[in-house]
Amino acid sequence: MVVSIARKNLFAEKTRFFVSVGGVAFSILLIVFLLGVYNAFQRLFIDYVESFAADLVVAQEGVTDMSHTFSLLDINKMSQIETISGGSVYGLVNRTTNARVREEDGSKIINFPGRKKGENKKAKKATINLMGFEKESGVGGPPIMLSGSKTPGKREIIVDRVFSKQNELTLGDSVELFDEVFTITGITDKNNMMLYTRAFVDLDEAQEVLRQKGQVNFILVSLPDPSRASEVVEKLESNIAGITVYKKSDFAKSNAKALMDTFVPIILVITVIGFATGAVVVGLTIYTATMEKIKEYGVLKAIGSTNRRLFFVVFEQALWSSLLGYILGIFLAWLVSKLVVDVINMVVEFNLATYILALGASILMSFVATYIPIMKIAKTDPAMVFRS
Amino acid sequence: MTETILDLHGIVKVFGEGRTQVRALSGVDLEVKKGEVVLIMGPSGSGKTTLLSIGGGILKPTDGKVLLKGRQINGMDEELLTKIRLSEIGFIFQQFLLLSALTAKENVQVVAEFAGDIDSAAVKSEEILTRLGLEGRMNDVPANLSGGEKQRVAIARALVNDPDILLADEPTANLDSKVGHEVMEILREIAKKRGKSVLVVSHDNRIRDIADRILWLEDGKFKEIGKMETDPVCGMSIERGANRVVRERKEYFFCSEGCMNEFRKEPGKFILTNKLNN
Repeated sequence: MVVSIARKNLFAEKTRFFVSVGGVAFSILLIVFLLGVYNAFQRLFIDYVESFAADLVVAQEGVTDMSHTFSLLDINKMSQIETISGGSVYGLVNRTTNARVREEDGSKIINFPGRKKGENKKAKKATINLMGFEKESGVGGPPIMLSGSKTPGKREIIVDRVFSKQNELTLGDSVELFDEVFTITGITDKNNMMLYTRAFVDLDEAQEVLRQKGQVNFILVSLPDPSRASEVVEKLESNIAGITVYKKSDFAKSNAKALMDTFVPIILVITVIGFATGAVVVGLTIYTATMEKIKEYGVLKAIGSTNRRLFFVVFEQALWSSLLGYILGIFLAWLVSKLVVDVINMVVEFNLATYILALGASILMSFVATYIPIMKIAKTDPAMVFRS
Repeated sequence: MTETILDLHGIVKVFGEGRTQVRALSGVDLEVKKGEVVLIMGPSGSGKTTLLSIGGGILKPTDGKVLLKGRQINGMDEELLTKIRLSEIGFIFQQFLLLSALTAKENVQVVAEFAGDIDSAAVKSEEILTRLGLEGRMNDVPANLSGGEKQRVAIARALVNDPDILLADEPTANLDSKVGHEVMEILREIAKKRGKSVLVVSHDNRIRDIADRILWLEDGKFKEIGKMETDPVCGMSIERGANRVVRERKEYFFCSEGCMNEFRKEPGKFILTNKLNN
């Protein structure tokens, strides 16, 4: 077997090697975890829109997504849209608000005649993204049901699993929304958006408590012939003023983009910090190792080794650290994701692209880390071996 | 006629420029024949190591020609010169300079692999180390080897690609006299039995009996060696000079006042040691 100077050098100084691997692992953990959170959020936004049993989404003109811009449509537009498109239309109400989940003394909210609704200002609150959907069709309703009914009745609400767990509320318990008490009759999943969770009520109920009777936020259109979607989009936009019409997949992408525009700069900065941390740790350890052995590299140059071969020795050391750090980092990211899912109910989703990106980052770390040591070796005069 | 392996002709080496310029070698000529052991001695800073570096193609002379088996190597492009150093020249260093993370065998094997000898590098390394009496130490790292063993590994490393010439820089400097002598005997045997040329630079007067030819380098030029003496305290070769002591009608010369004073305190110890060494 060919002697690997790189491997021998690495394993001869185990503490330094572990520090180096640990540095990369931490960096990869940070990068992969962040990308995992980002993926999960993107998926949550996309999946909900993709779950609509509809082909088109109609919004107020200029509205691009469900979380960053506010859409309000007059309800009479629904009949116009139905007529022009020839399809079925469904209203959708969407508003982020606070729900009271506990009384001031920490007890569960119980509805009874004479309860002073809305006066309990110190009650525990939780933010929800309330979706009002037409329960008869189910369009715009919860895509996944864990328990209970998926058709909420009067003063009934479907909440997310995470909301239920965080507030220790289950089927039959109550929450208060706009002075009205709603009973939890269903538990859904994959609607935890970290800052808030989605909750679902009947469209009429949502319009009533949000005081927007006669208005919806979005109109969903199911076409008899989905292949005509583009044609219908043009037709609707040219015939009805003040609306923007999206094909469902375009609206899903638009929601994902809105999310990306918000989070990518933050993720990018943290990812760059993570990458730099890894590169600096590997770089410092490889630099120290190289400088400690610079005379040995000088000997090899004097004996007849090319610079290229020595560069590879240094690069191989960095690559070993990076790749082992990568594997450890992926494992740690998986472990942390399990913990955060269970402990703080955060959503994380890893995919192949994340792993490939992290692998690319760790290989790039090797290149960055070896640049200065390689320059040092290149400048090393082999005649140094004769100096005592 | 015996083949000339290394021919240094009119070698001049100047370091630095202007006021800081130092002329390390001033037109040195040297021929090393096949199977010959040449010892170059001289005081510190005389240019011995510079000459060895130029002979080994590590340093470029300011002027003059370096011919290895008739082929001029100074002026060759670096890549070709690297290949020549790897396959035609073997280096042995004062501080052994073995790779600390590699075992004795790996230190030798890796150099054979550099030369492209991947398949037989391991076997060849074992053979050479066995020949040098290191069969039981092959898997030891340098930190676990004695000075003499390290130098024998260094010799094995220098020999593994079957070079024409071995260049040794102070090979006995870090060894006691007995081991130093053993190492030099190995080098002589390599020269005589295997037809390798050996060029050694050293301060160590105790190894002069091993050489076929001894040259004295001082101030960048070869000088006549006849008037050299050995400092009985440190063993260094020196010119006769002011640091002189006469004892029992015999003259002793010293490299420094320190050595001279040490001798004066306990002369018997050094005279005896000197006799034993000789």
